[in-house]
Amino acid sequence: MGSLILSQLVFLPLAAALLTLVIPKERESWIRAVALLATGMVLVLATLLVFSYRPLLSGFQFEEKISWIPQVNVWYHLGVDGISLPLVFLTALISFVGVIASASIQDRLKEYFFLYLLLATGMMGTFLALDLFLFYIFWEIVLVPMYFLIGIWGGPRREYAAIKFFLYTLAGSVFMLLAIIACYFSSLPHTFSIPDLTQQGLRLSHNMQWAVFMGFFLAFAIKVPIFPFHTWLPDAHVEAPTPISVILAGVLLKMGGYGFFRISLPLMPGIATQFAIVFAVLGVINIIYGAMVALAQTDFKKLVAYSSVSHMGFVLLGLGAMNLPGFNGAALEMFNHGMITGGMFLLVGVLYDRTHTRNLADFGGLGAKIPVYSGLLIFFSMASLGLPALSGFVGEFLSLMGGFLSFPAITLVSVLGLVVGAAIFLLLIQKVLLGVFQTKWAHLRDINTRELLAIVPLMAMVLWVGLFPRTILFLQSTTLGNLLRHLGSMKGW
Amino acid sequence: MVTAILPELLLTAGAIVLLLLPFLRSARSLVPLSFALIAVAAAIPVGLLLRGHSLGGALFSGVFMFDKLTFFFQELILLSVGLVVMTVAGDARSGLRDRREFYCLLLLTTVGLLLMPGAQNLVLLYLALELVSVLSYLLSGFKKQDGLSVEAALKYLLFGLLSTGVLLYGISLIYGLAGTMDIRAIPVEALRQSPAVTLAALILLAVGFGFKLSLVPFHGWAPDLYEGAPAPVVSFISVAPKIATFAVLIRLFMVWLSPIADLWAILFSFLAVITMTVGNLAALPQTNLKRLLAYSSIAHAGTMLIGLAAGTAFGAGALAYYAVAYLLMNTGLFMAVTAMESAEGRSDLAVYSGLAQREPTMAALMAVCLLSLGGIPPLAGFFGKMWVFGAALKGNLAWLAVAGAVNSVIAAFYYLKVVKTLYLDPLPAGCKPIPCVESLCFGMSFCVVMLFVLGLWQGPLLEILRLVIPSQLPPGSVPW
Repeated sequence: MGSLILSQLVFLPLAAALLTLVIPKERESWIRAVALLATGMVLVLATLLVFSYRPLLSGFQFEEKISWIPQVNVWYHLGVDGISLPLVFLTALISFVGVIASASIQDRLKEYFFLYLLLATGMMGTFLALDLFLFYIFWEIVLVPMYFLIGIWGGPRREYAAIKFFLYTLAGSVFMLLAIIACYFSSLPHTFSIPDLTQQGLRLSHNMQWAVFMGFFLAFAIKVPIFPFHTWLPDAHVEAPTPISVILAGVLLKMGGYGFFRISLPLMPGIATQFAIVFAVLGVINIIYGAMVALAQTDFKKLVAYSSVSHMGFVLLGLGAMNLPGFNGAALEMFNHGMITGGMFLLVGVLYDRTHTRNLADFGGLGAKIPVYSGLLIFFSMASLGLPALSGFVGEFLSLMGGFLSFPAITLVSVLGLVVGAAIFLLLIQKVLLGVFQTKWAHLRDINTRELLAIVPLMAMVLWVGLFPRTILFLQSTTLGNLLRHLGSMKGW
Repeated sequence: MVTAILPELLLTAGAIVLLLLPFLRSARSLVPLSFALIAVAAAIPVGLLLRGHSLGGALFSGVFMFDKLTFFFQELILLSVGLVVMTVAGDARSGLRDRREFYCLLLLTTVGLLLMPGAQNLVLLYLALELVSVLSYLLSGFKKQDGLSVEAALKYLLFGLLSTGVLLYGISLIYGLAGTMDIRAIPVEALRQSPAVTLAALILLAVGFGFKLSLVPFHGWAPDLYEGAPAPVVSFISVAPKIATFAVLIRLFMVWLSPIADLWAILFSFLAVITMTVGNLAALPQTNLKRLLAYSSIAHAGTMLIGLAAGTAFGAGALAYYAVAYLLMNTGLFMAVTAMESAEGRSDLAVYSGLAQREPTMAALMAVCLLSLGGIPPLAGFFGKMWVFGAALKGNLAWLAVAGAVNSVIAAFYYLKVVKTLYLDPLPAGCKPIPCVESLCFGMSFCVVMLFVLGLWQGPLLEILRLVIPSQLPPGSVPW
């Protein structure tokens, strides 16, 4: 087994990005081929990684640790464990699917794929970095290409959406930077290493620990996004081109939840356990608020965007539960949401490419006209609303179960969100597929092979995880159990 | 003893030769000759060090200190001036390129700048500062026919004269208290005994230096000067004098006045916060790139001041790192401004719209400089901010670090506005390609590459900074 597999995952896209720079602008098919090949290789490597990962071992695997800036004790340190592994696979799959979906992009192709591949490097690095310094760099690298990808190839309000996304995220991450520096100076010898900091704990006063925790919390909360920091999300998701919406929903939102698991909980277990109830309450607010707002939407894409806010609430609820079912549910929900909402955004894009409208009132009765598309839409809607045997159900169920063990009252309220969630997607199906067929769509073509190719892998994963959730749960349980033990030791169990 | 000031002697002689010698009829040799002079001046101390000569230490009965700090900042100043000469070489419009008196003034200003970091006597310090100031007035008003340029120069002159007077007053108060002009011999007890007068003197000094650094509220000259003066001159004035002044502040306040740090640290903390905030907020609505960069450089000076306010060796190191990054990103950006000014004759943001489709390479280089100014990793500008904030946190000035962090978000907005203009705005019809000048292309590429190198491979620079920071500073807190 090549021991540099993680570096390859991170830097293959970057190498491909640099390669696209030297390809002449006119050779569009070459550029596409390079991007497809690079993300395809990353997907193959990620699959290999999943199969060679040993789920029962605790600690990090495939670690790479090279001294980077010895003067300040910064290491190039990558590693994978049960929390990051599903997300690494998710990132690889979504990046690959995104390249297929990028066929609709025609304009300034070279710049597009350069930025796209740079984004892939940033995302992968964020999930693999085990040094706070490195983590922060990857975290911020994601911002820049995303800004351009929304700003150049987005919809009518793209400039506003792009700058809003950038500033929101930056505002959160500068406070994370201060928190990281505070962690660094609190440790002896000074270190940025996440495992080392976890082991020695932060030698900071209680108030300072709260300040550090809030610094990280702000950065992650904006990314998740947690109400009331979510207002960038509908703008960014709606204005971004289809493949970028898929990446935003599929991968970027997970960076926030991942940050809680990777940094907030292990580094500040004492504060985190005190904060659990806040996580749960915020989770419920996200679930209910997101669902209610989604219900009121007339724009197809905005509806999916707000339903993401609702789904992220389940992640928070599971996180706040601070028990194994809750953690498993939260981590699984992140993975599932990436697949399901990614698929939903692809479907929105397919319809938009043909009709150039996303207004739900413009559709109706499409079910008979485009049967394959309709089947897919029903499939992903059912997955979104949490139909058993599809993956969405498992994550939400585990989150609720964990939440019920810790906060029964709060969890009871959040179950209401499931009802509203079901209403959202059933109404969506009704508005788009049922009802009176509008004659202006008489020439509407059904989904084509290329679009199908992008969606089928996601569909397969949704079905597989729905039927055999054990595959993913098995990968992450050991790590989550260890994390709980770490948290529990602080609570004095 | 003379070897230590060989660069200054060489540059003075060179300036006179450039001006007087009749055989230099052709204007073409001006750029290579000036560049060669600067390169040799920069190489002399390096060569002497490599051949085993020690740095001179206190020279001329202690007036001038030639230590590692002086050496480092002198090299930095020479790098900055060298890049400015490359910028001038690409300036086809303002006519600076062919005027030998311009190079003469530039080299003489450099002599003043080189004396500043090593000055240990308030008189020498004042003289060096004055040499730089007076010549800067001349440089900024170089386009005599241009009303804007003349107005800017006049404003600069009036502000400058006032602030020099204030600085002189501060110096006289210090002399009155201490009875000496030698900053090493200032008796701290004497200053302690009359805190009111000391505070007044410190405030007056801060005003004087604040003018050079364009700290708020002494920044009024900067926006007009940046807008009116030719781009290469602005590039020079926005970097080299600031770096030299920061070197002076490190030596004067952090080294020799550190026992009364409680008096000046709070002063500089407040100046830092006001300067960052006002600079950044005022930059937001700007529509002229040079004017925007004026406010941006005001804000950057404020951020660097945090390192000074921290008062530790870490703070000084962070400030020096920031200075290197600032030099590279600001000079790199001004090279692009120069190229655009040469091609189009103006520098409002509208001429930059769609530059990415017109000149993709130039737009990309500009974007990297802008992102570095905005503090995006892994570029050097980000690490400058990171170390400065770290120094503040370590020095128990968390509020200062938070203020800096909030400010860097505001700053990102207007840098991104420029990036937006380059990449997102449509290209106006009928734009011609911008002629590529080798010196500008090379200079910008150098700056951008160095921004990446210092970000991704900063070990060597950190090592140098550790050696450079004087050992008298409050120790024990250098993280590297």
